[in-house]
Amino acid sequence: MADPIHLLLLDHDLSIRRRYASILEEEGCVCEFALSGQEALWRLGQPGIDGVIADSTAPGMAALDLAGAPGQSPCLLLFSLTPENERHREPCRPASCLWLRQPVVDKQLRIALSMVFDTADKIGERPHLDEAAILAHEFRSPLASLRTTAETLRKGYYGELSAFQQTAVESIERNSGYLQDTINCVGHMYQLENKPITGVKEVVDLLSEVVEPIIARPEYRDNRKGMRLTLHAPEPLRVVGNWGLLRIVLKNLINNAIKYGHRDTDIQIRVEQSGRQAMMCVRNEGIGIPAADLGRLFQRFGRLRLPGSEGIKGSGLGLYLCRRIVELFGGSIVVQSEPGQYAEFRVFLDRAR
Amino acid sequence: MEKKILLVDDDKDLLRDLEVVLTAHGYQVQQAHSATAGLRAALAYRPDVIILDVMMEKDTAGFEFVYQLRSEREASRYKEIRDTPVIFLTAIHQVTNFRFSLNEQASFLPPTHAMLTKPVQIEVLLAKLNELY
Repeated sequence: MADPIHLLLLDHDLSIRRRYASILEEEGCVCEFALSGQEALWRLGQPGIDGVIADSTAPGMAALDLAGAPGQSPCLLLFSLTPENERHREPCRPASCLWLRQPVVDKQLRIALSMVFDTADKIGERPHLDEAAILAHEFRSPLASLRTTAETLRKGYYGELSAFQQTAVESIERNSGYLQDTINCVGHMYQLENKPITGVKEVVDLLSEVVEPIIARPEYRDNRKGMRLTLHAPEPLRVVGNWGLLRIVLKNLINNAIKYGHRDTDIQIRVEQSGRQAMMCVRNEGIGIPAADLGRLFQRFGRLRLPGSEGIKGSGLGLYLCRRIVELFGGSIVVQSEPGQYAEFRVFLDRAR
Repeated sequence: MEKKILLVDDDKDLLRDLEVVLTAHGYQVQQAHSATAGLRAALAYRPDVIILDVMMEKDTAGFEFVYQLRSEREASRYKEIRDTPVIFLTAIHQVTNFRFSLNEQASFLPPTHAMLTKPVQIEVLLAKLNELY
């Protein structure tokens, strides 16, 4: 069994200390107490403390100094009554600390504990938006703005456009969409490279947590090509995966089905058992893929130049990303196609027991 | 009566587009370009809905906005507008920090009405607003 986590509780309010201590001890932690910041700093100078729980606004308190205490890098859980003291947070940013707003309910404390000591610490997550998220945001944000402007123009909110102008605006929309897909894929790939599987593996119901929320989205349901999404799923199916990542897989497959599909046809989505595995399948009627190219499809930048796909842009990362995600969970992805007729992608995942 | 919407985002280009669209659909719109200005405007304007960005003057300004608005302190300045529906509209795609997680089950954010990702399709935004009223 792992060593218990030793926590130092710093709060001048005895009843709060007792309440937290009783929850934390139930979770297998060993708690020590400090009544003042000075006392806590002294205790942190001694070995054996894994984390500190403190109220950031207690009078005469030095909880924030704890973050910068020399030679120590304790995980901090800081409680704060007011959100106004954002400036106090700055010094804590380098530390692995977590802010909870008081009053903290038991469940929050338990989750926080598990995040800080099981996940946050090991994966190196930080309690603020991480750098990758901020960088991705810096790319996505102006692009999103551009798309909205183009959409607003195309729909005539700024006045009627001529057919010629309409075409130009559509190309702005299409190209910014392409750029956006690429940025999304790169962002997801970056995350996969930096995230150990233990952090993301969970039991997921394919139908209610992955397929249904995605196909209900207006961008798919009311897609521009008038393609209908049909779902065949006889029963809920629980698999080993991650809801967020599996949604990325399905979104990529549906995006492709729309991109390379014939107008006004069906996109069939099936979720069913396949022996000890579960299968999620997306099939479209469209330009399909020649047999000779099937092997290249899941490679990085493996985008094909198919007859009929001229003018359709893609990053060549989407299917690569799908394969990486599916393989992360011990699954597989395969494709069948008849050029000019259809393409069918099947994802196989282990069923959860 | 026309419903009042407060748009809070530091992206003025986007707000210009949204204002044009929403006004065309019969909403009364006011803009604020930071979380601080947004909170002030919310007090003065008493909107029926607030549409809110996340990353403004600070990475998490939008989240803090909601904490302040929803504050249950007796002395809160925002007591009377505490329950105003809030729709997040953000380009933050994935947040690893669970406190600000986009996964509602793991988030400690006070309740908001919706979390929409930029670029939002106009129809999607209008449908969300329709759901509210």
